[in-house]
Amino acid sequence: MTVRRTIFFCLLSLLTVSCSRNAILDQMVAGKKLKPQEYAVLPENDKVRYKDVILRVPAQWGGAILPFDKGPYESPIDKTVHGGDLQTLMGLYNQSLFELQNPRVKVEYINFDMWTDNFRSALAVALSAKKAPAYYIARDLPLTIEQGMYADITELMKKWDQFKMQPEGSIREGTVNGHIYTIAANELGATVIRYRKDWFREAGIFNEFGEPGPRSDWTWDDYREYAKRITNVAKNRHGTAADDAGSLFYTESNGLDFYIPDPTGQHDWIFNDKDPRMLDALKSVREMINNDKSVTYSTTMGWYERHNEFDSGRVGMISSFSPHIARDSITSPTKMGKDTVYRDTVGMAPPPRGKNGYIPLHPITNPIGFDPTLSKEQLEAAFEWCKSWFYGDNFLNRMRSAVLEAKLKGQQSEVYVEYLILPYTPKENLLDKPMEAVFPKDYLSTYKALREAHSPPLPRQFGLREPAPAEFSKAVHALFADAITTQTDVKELLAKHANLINTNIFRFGGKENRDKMRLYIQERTDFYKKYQPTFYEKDWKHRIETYYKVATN
Amino acid sequence: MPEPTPKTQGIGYKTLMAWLFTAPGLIAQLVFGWLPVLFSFVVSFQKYYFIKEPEFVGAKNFQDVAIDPLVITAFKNTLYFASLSIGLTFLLPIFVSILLMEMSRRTIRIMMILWFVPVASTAGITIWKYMYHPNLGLMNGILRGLGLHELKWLDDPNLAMFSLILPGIILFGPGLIYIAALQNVPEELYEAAEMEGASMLRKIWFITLPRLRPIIAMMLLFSIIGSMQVFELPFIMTGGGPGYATTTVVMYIYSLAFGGYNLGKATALAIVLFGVIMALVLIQRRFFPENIDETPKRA
Amino acid sequence: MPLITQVGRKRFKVRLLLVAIASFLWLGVLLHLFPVAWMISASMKPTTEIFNEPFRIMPKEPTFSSYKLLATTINPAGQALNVDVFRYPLFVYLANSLKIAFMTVLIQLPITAMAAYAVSKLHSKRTARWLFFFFMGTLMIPGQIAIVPRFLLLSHFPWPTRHVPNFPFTDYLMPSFSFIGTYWGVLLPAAFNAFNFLLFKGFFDTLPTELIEAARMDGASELMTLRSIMLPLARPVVAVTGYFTFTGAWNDFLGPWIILMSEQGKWPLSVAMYKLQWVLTNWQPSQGAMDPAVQALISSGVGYNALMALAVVESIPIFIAFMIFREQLMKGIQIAGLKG
Repeated sequence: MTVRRTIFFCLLSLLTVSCSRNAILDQMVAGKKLKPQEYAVLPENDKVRYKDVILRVPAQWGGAILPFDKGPYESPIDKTVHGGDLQTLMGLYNQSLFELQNPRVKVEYINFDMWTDNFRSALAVALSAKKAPAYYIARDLPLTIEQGMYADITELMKKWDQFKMQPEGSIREGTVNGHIYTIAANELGATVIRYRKDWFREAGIFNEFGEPGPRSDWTWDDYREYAKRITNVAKNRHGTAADDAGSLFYTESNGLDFYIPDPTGQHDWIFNDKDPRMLDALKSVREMINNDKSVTYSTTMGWYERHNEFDSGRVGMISSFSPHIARDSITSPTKMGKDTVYRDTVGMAPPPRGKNGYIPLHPITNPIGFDPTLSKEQLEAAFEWCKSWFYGDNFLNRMRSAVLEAKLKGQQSEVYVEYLILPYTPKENLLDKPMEAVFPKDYLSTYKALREAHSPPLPRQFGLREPAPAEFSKAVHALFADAITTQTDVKELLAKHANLINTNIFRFGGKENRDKMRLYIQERTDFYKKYQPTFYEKDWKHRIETYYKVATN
Repeated sequence: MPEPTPKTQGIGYKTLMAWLFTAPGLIAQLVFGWLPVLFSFVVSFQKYYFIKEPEFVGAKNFQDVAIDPLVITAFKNTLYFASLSIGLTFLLPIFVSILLMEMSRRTIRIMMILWFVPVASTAGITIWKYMYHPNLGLMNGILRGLGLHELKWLDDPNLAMFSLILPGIILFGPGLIYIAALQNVPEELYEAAEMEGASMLRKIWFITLPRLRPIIAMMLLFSIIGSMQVFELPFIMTGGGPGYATTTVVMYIYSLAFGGYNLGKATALAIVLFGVIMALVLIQRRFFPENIDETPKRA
Repeated sequence: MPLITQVGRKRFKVRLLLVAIASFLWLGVLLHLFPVAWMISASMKPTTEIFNEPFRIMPKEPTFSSYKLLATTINPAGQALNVDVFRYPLFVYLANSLKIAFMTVLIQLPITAMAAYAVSKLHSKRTARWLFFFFMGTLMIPGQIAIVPRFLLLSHFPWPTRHVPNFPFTDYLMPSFSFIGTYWGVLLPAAFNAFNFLLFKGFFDTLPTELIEAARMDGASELMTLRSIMLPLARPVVAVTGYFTFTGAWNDFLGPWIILMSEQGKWPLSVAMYKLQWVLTNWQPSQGAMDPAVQALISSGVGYNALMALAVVESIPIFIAFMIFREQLMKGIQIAGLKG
């Protein structure tokens, strides 16, 4: 017995000693905030142990992953070095730089697919399997916020010096009940119209600069008219290509809401099938296809195919995302044909306004949310990383290398696009010539309008629940698809789909939210009074009386 | 006379080996076959949250399913698809197989090999999606070439469902399982019928089809279950559109569960679908039993 | 042969009928081969030809550019010039598909065959009947009913609940594994297949019991009996089930799509195929949100030609599998078919 006991105690003491030895070593490095110069002189083993804040960065956003195969080279890293893959090397350089600036942080680049069509379950799965990156694109707002998929970053945001530079729209998107959950990435943009300048010249349509294109204050009626004028069936040219999303323009340009407060007060919202302009929207889309014949249409025609139709010269006007137009003019100047100049062929115009002067420009950047399971240190590190990536050292390093690389390859560098669409103020200006020398007037004027535009308040700021965005937009698309592909009476269609949406999506809320609802409507009224006075006078005043009454009892 | 070795002796050993052989399959079937099915009844009474614990909500999920107009649309679409696909494509392989047996052995071999040149399933669906493309697709190209009116195929709500079935009609072919069964029909029966001067149709009706009956009944069963659960075909071809014209029940279950993360309602709908399929299977077994002795009644 | 007797084949009317039947059948063969030919032809067209001369049967300037486009490696920070399907070169998806298909066959066939052998030959009549219903019962239950619970089960195996339970009276969680985003999540649910079980059992039932008795007399263990006597006899059935399991696993879309959704490096070809066609057709970016890899894809000018190239690549391995198993298949079907 005693022998056994002795052995046991010996082992135990050995164990204790070995543990405490590690603990002593750990205390020397861990928990103490080292400066970069102190970190740099640590022995390698301690360096490894000191890095205890893991930051998982999605490689497609602010990172780079070494190539898959080594090809004919010795190793993947050899391939990047000798193959001249500066982008990847810059990613590694930035990784190393950031780790030196923040000695405790260890950056890991991972692949994470955040663009699937069922983003919510993909993210839920990744989070519960602990495979999610530290930050990711925030989609399906505000539902994903309510479900707790992002960390609350209100404190970090308030300390940030560039907080005010974020587009209003992005802040509104990611704010629920006064708490901020998202930050804006560095790509300011909006849904705008991409059009063929040469076709507009042929049709004799010129903007305020005397160049071919629509005026910046054009209306929905102009849009329809222009689409008809540039259509040439003999040449296989159509005014516009519509999938069911493209046809939402009418409602957007009139500032129509798809849902309004429930007048009975039973639930929070109901589908807005009462407004006669909703009927007009459906009719007008149908007429464009059937009477004007200015639209080439298919339900399977998505974003990509719409752009393909445009690029291959069969369609003259499509809805597009502003940064892509600017970027294409730099990266693929001969996209529209070998003998054409992109910036003289492809134009950018803000979306058409409504009759009552509503300005439908909603500038936004990809909102980014953070993993809610991160520790405090990890969250801070992720936030720092984002700053560096958006406009700090990471950004500047990438831009410098892009300028050099472009010069070597004899191309126009992308730095102009990045600066054009940047919402933040970078530490350094790397441009060697003015924007006017690179981009045509319509791009610059659209971006000027974008920076000046204001986004209306959203219900989520007041603690009101909003419908799940993915399902709701799917339901609205189905309504438009039905309107376009069938000949059923639009009134009947609208009633059918309103019933469907009301039963499936809007069965929440109720009387307890009346006060919040009133506050929200008041805020919107103030907003329109201030920023869109014509629309307020001509439209909103009347609309509020008719459709936005909140039941009082 | 060799001595029986001790390890093969006794009932105990044999039973032990039997259970050892069965065990992996048993566990797999229990865990991944039966457990999810039983657990789906639990899920259907709960509301799932992302962070919080699930909440017991009673029959609310079933109530949601009952008042949802889309559920009715989805069931209508699914039944329409099932009846179209069974009505138009179920009988084809049987008759093609019977006809194929008339060819010489060599021809059968060549034809079978060409017929079963496989195309991967998602690839095959994508080819047809390309064929149906309104501007670039071959279907409209053929119609244009023939000087006919072009069709909207997948963009026409009235035509979309038929467009999903059409490849099955155009690509008609024999069924492997029918050919196997046909080879086992004794030739003497046909010879005897020939003596009596029976026509070809009568031979098919009175000899071939009764022999195929159990196989046909089984295939019909699988066909009903399969076509009621159709997912990939409309999911890839149309995504459920235009509007909701091709949204099937399983697609709706999928979008509830993995698009909207509404797991409770999705499972409740799955159980309703299960009930409907079981009812259809019972009807099928009632009116089309596998019994080989019962001769089919004259039409 | 059976319907029209050899004797009567000389008559003109009968000959006409035979020619009619033959041409009908050949038409079916041609119609069946046509989409395959169209797929190959379209995959070799340059993008401009896809758009400008969509109905040409033979490509005017055949090119392998779309295959090259799919195969090149990409730097994920994505310059427009070197782009692959999404973030991985084609061979990664191909390897994944092969991995999944082969592993499914390797796991499923032995488990199913052993269970079928035991039920057919080893268990007592009573047990065998119960086991038969246990194994076959799920075949009658539509598989889709269990999509959600199976997903929950795999996300924290072995607990089918949303959350892992604690040890009773403590704060410690019970151990659990997440199979989501791993190959096991796809392979494990396919470990047993009721349909193959039916085929195997049907075959083992036809073998005389004396064969096994004789082997036992010779002192062979049960495993040896199965391996060296039963399986060689069952070769055609193994070929049929093996081929169908392989193609089934290769073609499976919903399983890998749900399980491997966010792990692009593990996607099989079927998922990559779905994803590419989805981007090319139905896809709508949500407000401003845009995958950089897709941006690069768009700049590279991918069209239906690349999609068809991917379809060709996806079809080749199962074509090879078919050619290998062809002889065995033709034999095996005769044996396996009727016993269903």
